[in-house]
Amino acid sequence: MLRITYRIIFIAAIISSFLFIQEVRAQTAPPASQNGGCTLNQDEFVKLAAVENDPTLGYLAELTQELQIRKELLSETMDCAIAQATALQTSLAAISTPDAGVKAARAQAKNLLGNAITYYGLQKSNIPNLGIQGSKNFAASLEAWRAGNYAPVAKEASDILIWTGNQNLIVTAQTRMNQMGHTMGILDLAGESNLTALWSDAQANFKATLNFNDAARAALGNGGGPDEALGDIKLSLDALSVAYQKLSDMNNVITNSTSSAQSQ
Amino acid sequence: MDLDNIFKQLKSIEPDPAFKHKSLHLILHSAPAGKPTLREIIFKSVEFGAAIALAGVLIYTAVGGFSAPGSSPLQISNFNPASLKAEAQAVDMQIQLVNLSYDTGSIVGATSSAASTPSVASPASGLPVLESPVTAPSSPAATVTSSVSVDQALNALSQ
Repeated sequence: MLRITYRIIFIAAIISSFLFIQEVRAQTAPPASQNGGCTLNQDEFVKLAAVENDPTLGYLAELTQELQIRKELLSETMDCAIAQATALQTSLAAISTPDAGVKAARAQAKNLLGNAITYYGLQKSNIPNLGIQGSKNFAASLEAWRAGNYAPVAKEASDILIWTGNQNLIVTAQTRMNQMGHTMGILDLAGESNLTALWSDAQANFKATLNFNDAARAALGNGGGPDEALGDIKLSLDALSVAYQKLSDMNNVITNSTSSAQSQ
Repeated sequence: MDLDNIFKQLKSIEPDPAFKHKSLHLILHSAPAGKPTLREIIFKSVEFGAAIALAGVLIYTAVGGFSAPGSSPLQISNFNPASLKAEAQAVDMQIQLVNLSYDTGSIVGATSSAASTPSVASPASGLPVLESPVTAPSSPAATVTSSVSVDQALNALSQ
């Protein structure tokens, strides 16, 4: 009988250790890279300027080298654009949310990012056929397309990622608020006027956090636009930060009271 | 009392046959107390270590180390300034991320001042038109010293 109990403890220890490691890994996991690990080096663009301003180069040699560099830079830029969109798409696929509206927004953003990646690929295939002026027009048109089409999708995607990340913070804060509420009751701290005021502020700000978080969720779910969602997300986090400040102030009051009581 | 008779009777006393058989069986089939094998030593060590680990995890859980929904740890970690500060710092980091989105227009560095709703067309319904109006670049590539964003690169290449 004792041996069976020992085995059960052994299995429970393995399961508990696994859960513990998962918890630690979840808390220390670095955020996903949003740029796809792609970096466009400034030096490459300096080379282009150097060729354009090199007096030793003949007309034809300058044109040939400039065109070659422009095509290489355009190609690298397109690769970066594809890498960034792919990274966003991958990050969106990795998150999980129970909210139906946010799920739908995520699916739409993933689809639009997929379209953008396809578009970039098609545009990149045209680069070898460009002349110098054509490459300039190509870059200008693509920049405008990104501002009007890609940027809103990318902002929407980043809003979804930020909002989803916020949910873990809010769950943790909710647990903290619940614990503090229990403590206020257990230790009968309601009579302390300082603590009562701080606790009321913390509760009010946490309630504002939840309200703005809901507003952001609604903006994401009903297509309210990335700017509206981002504004609500920011207000939600600001309120949460204030709530934590109040909890920290409460902690200081309680610590000081405890120290005073011990010294008397 | 005749002691000789009593001693003679004692000599004839015998244990219960069933008890005698059971005891003999237990003695003959008990495991010899030999040296433990390497496998037993390793298994015992692992078991001991796991038991210690379990105790540690239980203590960690009891003082409120986990915050999983449904768990009800003792509220000892309530006034732990370090954990409270860590949670507040996580919120501040998230605020910085949001502010970065505000400053750059998006976390991927796009400079957007046009449409506010997603409008990337499906390739099946015709690719997005490239001849849309060019927006003025907000930050030329020359102002960046080490690396440039995609939009800054495109702006530089359009010159």
